[in-house]
Amino acid sequence: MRKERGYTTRNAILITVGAVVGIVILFGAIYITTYNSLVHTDESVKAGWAEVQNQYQRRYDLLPPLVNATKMYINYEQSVLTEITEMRSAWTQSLNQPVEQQMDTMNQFDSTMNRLLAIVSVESYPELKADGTVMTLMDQVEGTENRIAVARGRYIVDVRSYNNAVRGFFSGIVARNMGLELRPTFAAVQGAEEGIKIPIG
Amino acid sequence: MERAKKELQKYGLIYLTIIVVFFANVVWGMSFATRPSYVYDWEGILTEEEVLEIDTLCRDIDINTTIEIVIVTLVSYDEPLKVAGIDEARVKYFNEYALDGVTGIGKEGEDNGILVILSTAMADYGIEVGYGLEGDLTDSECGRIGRDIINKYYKDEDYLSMFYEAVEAIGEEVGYGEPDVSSEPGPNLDGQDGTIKFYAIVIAIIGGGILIMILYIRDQDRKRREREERRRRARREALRASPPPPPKPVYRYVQCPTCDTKRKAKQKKAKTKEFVEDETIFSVLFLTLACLVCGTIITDARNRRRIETTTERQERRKREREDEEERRKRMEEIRERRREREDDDDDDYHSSFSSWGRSSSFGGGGGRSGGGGASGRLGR
Repeated sequence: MRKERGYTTRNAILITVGAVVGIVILFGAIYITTYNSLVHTDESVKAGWAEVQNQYQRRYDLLPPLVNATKMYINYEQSVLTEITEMRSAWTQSLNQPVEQQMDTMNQFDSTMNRLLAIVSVESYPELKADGTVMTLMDQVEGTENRIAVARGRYIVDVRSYNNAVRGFFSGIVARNMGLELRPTFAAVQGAEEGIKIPIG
Repeated sequence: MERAKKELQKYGLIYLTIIVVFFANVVWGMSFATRPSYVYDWEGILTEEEVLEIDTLCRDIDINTTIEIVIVTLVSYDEPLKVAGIDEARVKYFNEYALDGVTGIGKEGEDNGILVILSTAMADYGIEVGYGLEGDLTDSECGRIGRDIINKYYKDEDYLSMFYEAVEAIGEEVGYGEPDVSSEPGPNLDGQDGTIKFYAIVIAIIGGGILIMILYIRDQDRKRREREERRRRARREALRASPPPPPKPVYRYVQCPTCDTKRKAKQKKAKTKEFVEDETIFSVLFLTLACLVCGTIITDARNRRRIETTTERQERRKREREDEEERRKRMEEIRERRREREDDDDDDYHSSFSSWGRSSSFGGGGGRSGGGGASGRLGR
């Protein structure tokens, strides 16, 4: 009788210890997986943001040669040229600022860019089509605008999944331990992913 | 000792054979792992022969440079994917849509794909360049190809020349046909095939190891049984030779019939011994054959190279005739459509798709792009 009870007690202890160890291992495994996936998402958001910045930089690098090449066909108003200069300097300055302000600057000058490209269009200046340099530059500008749209769209998707992970129940706890915070995103403008339509032949 | 060494050599040899045969098969199969198809003419503006011609060129470029050039003609922006315009269509069909079960144009990690997308119904075209080729095929070069080749042939409705020359021009930009590239002809075994090759080696080594283990254990088991049998026989012989033990009538009575049957069993085994010895070699031969057959089946499935029966050929011809009929009809529709569009610019053309989304396990695919390339309007 006594011996039997001894057995049951020992079994109970063994089972408890086993269960605790099992739970700890399971928990640890889930924690590690969540940690890894958070690191992965965080990195892809960072890479996405770098791509957005990279493409914007490309846009502003292309502006002076475009203006120069089209100057002989288009009689720019002074206000347009000033706006372009402003746009570039605002962009350069915003690079040292937090992400939210960079986004503001980006959004603010997207419309300016639109207007500029509407001026430099083959529709209004058919003679541009004959100029090889202009056509080459226009192709590049168009490509850049398209790339900006794609990079922005992908960044929005990445940040959405990242923010979901940071807000989530278990992953949120892990994220807090890692010191991750919610990241700002672009307001998804209707049709932003299509890019800007440039009327070009 | 000598015996053990010999045994080890034998098993090592069998192991190596299995690995080599399996691996050679997988690699041989891999070398044909290209995209299932390069031309997706959903609008039906090309004939079967024209599709084949362009497809052959694209496949040759893939085999020589691993670069995948894919051509898609879209009926509308609503199907199969809903997109807002040509710019979105370029990115979506390049990165997200599964063409014959292969998503992403270009090899994974290298992103060396190019998509030429065109819709006569919507009068738009676009060239999308994968990340890995943005340096070789710049936006301005894409724009030039669009203006100088695509639009030039569009006016004559010469779609074969349009796509063929566009692909040729793209191939030129990305280094197809240059001596340093073409001097290394042969199967493409780079990119993601490398990972598959790696897995093939791992599978061959582990699988071969397991097989050898099974063979070895079985062999050892049999040898142990034989040894025991010999020992028992020797004991019995000794027993018979030595002076008989003190008589125990009951024991001897029981012993006798057992002894008899045992001797019979022994003889049977001794007869089949040689055959059993050969069993290992037979199983290896069989495995080698099985590997070969499997590899051949896989490779054949990859290439869809099947030997047709007569009825199948007849059916295929019939199908082709029907397809031709349908194509002609669709062609008529498209011409009609274009005439209408020239009258008014309102587009809501829909057409039914016949065959896409065949799922298969071909190689290639997995490349990504980020909006590089150019778009334009047809007919300007």
